[in-house]
Amino acid sequence: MHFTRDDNLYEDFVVGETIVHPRGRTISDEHMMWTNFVLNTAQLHFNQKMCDDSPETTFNGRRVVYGGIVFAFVAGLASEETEENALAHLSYDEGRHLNPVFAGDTLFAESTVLSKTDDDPRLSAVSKAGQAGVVKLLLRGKNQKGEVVLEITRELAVLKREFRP
Amino acid sequence: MGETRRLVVRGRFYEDFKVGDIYRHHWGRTLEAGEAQFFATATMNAVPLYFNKLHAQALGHPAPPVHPLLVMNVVFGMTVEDLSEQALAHLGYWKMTFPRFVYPGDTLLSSSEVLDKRESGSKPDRGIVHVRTTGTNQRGEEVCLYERKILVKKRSAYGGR
Repeated sequence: MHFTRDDNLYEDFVVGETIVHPRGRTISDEHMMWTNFVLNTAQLHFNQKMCDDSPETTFNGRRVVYGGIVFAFVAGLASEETEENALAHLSYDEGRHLNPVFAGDTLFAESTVLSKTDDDPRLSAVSKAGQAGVVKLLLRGKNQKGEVVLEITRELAVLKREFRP
Repeated sequence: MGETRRLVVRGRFYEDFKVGDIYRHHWGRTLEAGEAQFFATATMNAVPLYFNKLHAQALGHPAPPVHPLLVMNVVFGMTVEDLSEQALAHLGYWKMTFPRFVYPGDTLLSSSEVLDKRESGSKPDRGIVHVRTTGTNQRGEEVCLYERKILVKKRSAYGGR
């Protein structure tokens, strides 16, 4: 019994390909719970009165969704095609929140394969010799209007096919 | 005797940051198995490593580890009162790594160093603060590192609020 798919292993990543992930996810006012869940105390995410009183220092008086949760949801939307057979997240870099997200917006995700290699010293800490490779991806989150809300590069250590448990 | 009232305002303004300062964020946060599994499933993170014990053990883990993006979010969340409760926006992340896995029962702590600060080129009421945040476990081992830039209000412009 395998718990993962067999089409998202190291060998399956094609450098230059952009994977358009299949699902969207509408964010509701639940985002305030997520903000509080991780101890983020920035009120512009969850205090409507403060936003009403300070439209010039908030997003025109709207409660903006905390970016770390946008990041988590975009990664979730991309996960089955990119991360399901990953052993570890090696790095993220060049991450930008390019447009705000509000309750009611729907998020989508795309991943572009930037490079791959099975010769990387970091692999020895997360896998046995020869069992995995590093895939570098550009993860991009978009809203329902097609505007990019998040861009970030990531390196995942991904299993090779013959070692899938 | 008159009633005494004291308005508490949290969060640093641009002027309060000094390059080289290190903030050891208080609180700490123990992560439990249920919330780790809740995070992975509720963000549709379709990776059984984080919610299926059989699969995690097949990959050599004693139990499903905590998803790195929950680790990052908790490490980040604990920094907000010191770094960005008065922020206008979070601009981005750089050089994020996860040197060790976090398992349920581990307690996360955060600290941050101010790497740089500069005034906004276009708006005189704000500035950009560049920090490096380090998340550690209860043994002091690093579990999440990243740099972040924050757009912060100036006290001179907004301190009266």
